[in-house]
Amino acid sequence: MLLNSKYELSMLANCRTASNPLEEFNGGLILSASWETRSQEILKYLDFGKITNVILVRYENQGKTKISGNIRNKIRDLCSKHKILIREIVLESVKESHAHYHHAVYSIAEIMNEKGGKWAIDISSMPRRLWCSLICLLDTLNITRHLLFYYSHPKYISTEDSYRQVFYEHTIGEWRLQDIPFSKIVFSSGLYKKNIISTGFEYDKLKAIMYKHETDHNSIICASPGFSDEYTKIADRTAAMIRSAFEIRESDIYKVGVTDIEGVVKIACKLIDENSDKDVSLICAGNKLHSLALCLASLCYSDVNFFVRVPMAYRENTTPTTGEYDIISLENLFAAF
Amino acid sequence: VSNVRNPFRPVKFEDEEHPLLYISELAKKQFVIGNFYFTGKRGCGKTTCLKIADTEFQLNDSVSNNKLYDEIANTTLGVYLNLNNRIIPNFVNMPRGQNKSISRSTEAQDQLTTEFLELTILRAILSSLSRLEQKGRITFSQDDERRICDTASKEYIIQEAVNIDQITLHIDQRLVKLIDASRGLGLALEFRSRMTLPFYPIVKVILDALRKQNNVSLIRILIDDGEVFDLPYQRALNTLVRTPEGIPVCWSIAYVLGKFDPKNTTINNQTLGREERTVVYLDNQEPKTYTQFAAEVIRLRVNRSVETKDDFNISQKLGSFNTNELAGASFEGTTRARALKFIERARLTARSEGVIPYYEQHLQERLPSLHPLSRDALRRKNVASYISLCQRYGLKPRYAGERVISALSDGCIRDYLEMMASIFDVTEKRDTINTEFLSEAVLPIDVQDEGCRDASARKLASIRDYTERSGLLLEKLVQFIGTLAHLIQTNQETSEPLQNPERAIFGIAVNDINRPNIQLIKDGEVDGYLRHIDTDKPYKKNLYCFRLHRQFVPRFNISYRESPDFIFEIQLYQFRQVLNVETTDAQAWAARVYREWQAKKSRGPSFFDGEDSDATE
Repeated sequence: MLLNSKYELSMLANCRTASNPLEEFNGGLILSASWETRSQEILKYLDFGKITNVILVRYENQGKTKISGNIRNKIRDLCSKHKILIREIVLESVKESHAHYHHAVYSIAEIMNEKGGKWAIDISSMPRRLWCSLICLLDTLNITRHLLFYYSHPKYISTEDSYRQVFYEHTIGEWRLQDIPFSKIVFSSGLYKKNIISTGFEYDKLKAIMYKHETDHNSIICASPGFSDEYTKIADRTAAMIRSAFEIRESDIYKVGVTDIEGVVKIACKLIDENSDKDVSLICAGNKLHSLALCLASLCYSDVNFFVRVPMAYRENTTPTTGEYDIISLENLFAAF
Repeated sequence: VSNVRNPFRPVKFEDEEHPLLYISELAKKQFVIGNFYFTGKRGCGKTTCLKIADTEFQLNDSVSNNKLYDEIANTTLGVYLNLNNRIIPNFVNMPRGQNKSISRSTEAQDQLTTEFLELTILRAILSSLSRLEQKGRITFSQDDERRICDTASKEYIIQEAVNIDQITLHIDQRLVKLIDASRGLGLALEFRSRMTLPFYPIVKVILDALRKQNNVSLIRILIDDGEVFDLPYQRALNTLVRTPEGIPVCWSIAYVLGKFDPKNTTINNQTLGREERTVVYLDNQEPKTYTQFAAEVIRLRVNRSVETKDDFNISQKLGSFNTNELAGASFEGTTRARALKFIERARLTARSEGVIPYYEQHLQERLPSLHPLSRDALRRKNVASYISLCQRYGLKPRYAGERVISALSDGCIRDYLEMMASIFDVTEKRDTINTEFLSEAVLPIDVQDEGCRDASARKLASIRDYTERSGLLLEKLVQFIGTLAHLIQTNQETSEPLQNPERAIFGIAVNDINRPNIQLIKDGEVDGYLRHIDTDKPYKKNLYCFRLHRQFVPRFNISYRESPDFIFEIQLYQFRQVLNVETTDAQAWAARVYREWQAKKSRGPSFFDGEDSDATE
């Protein structure tokens, strides 16, 4: 789909398509080494001989399982074997300051500008604040024409609460909403508001966000169907709970498949257009694929707030992959080849 | 009208497409000069109060109050500002970045906080002016615009501009720079120390421009959700309110009670006094004012749903039932021999035809020492006696009548609407909307009671889904406290519940009210599930007192009133037991707490309960 007459967005491949474009990918790679084993899934599909540069985002805190260290070493070994230049960006997990993200993203963009060519970003376990702000910065700079986003689907491990309800708990503590570096800042009176919120499965955390930012006229984009039947069930239950607790109308709940990025972009753009006289906020409180869609939608408007949810901490337990993935291509038509 | 949609939902006016608003006398105060701080718990109508004073909102609210706006609001320019979901920079402890000297100076940080606040408000005023001009509500000349821009760029570090739209953009640039500086980003921030507040001179120029061609003589700045501000911003805001410098600018600020400091300013030894602002406690209105407010809101809601029904009178619809009428409804259909015998005994003492003195009879039987002719004493204990007799004869107390339902809403219009919505649902279920709800007749007691009980159960179930934090724990606390209140008020082993009736205020002895344990109660208060009680008794100064929101009353079959004289003290260790995951049985906990309290009482003249006993005499 054409986005804002500037971007060509397409769902390039998933595990069901015959070939994986990453096998033929020739360009730079940005990936993160976190406590998630999913961080290394992309390595399965890449031919490292064709990779020109690697930017590795790593964490000072290696997590309980020390997985990040293993992945980091694996990537460093691959780079040294293929004589690929590797640059490391160090983050201190979620407690990192806005300024640090700002500088980190700026450094990444600098390297991208210096090296040029295509770039693939593995967003599976990379912080939203990092890659969303990179998208915003690249939108301003117009330096990279082809971007590929790779996302390895998570297989969340569910537990039961004291009411015998199945739930996933991925993060610790309350969520807060945070703007991201290089996104637009809108100063408006807030007389009429519209919040477009992508939701996932962690109801208690979502509830705190919705409650604290007591919001009128919310629209919910619920990831249904989700990554698995159980995820769909919990995401639907979460949406139903939000609807009943916050009196959201049925017509304001949009169920969109978790991998349907174009669908989310279309809904978000439609809602923003319909509410052009209000202060619109796009709030990412769900899965990363929907966050990517909302981030891209925010690029089309100059007066829309964009927030991502940030937890106090992550559980730092590894979430295995389902083996499925999605690859999304974004071509900036204003950037040079 | 068979398909009438529930007129009372949604209960939040912000969720309605075209809300009908009733403007209370309190809200009307804003249309004259004066600063008002509106406060109360969530859902008490703070946002409504502010929004109706916003000029743009008035233009769009063409449904309900046009006449009023034309008559009294047209000389005021109201500008609404809500900073929820917006970036508010924190200059205290800002990273050094390129601003070495600023980051070290507390004074500079205070000034930057004030500057950010002033520019945000100024921006809101200017963009409101621009939109209102486009809509034809106000007019001003190009020269006026120029003068406003010149003054703004002179007073603040913003680029010069030729019109309001341009100066708004330049203000945005300065705001972004301020935000970046607070995060340690960007180049060194241009900063100049200032001795006076530049805000009011600009507002004066704006007012002069407005006066020339429009009938506007006052600007009212309406700041909603003031609690999202940190303390430095709260102080800066109070300072702006404190120093109007003779310019007709007034302020209305709304905040959740307890989360905003309405007093301190940034000026040394100067606080905001009573004469400078009026604090309006919206959920603590006089019963008469609140009843009138609720009646008007309900009339508007019904009128919107059923256009032909513009005279819906809630007082007439819910009626008024005395305690014996409610007791009669409770006894209806009972087949228990003990209950039937009691009815017979009560009937024998009846003084007039048709009115059976149930509660009086119960009091006489349970409290023989009470003088039968002491009518006042009897009347004071009527609800307590009714609650107790219901327990004794296995009945459910009925909650009906305008007075009772108004009390159950506990001063919160959202809760009133919630109960009315449930009562409407009951009539809908019984297919009696036309015959019962919209007719002239008083709604039957059982319909009202069922509605109240549904709303009560729903409120209890909503705690875990709706509270900001610790939902499950708060739900547990409400369950435990409700169970304890029921036990205290209905215990049949002693006559204590009738001697000291309607004991429903609980106190926890703490030296430090900021202890984490008490935080759960405070959270419950902010979320509207618990109510804090200020006790003026010197011997109870260490007690943190609270009670349940009255909407829980039907769920626990207790009295909808509570006596401020009788405070039930819960020991800190007993309260901690509630927080313990291993304590799961509310009945067992309540029985234990009650037993220990009785034992303490029987050991001798207890300090607290001795006072209680005195109070009954």
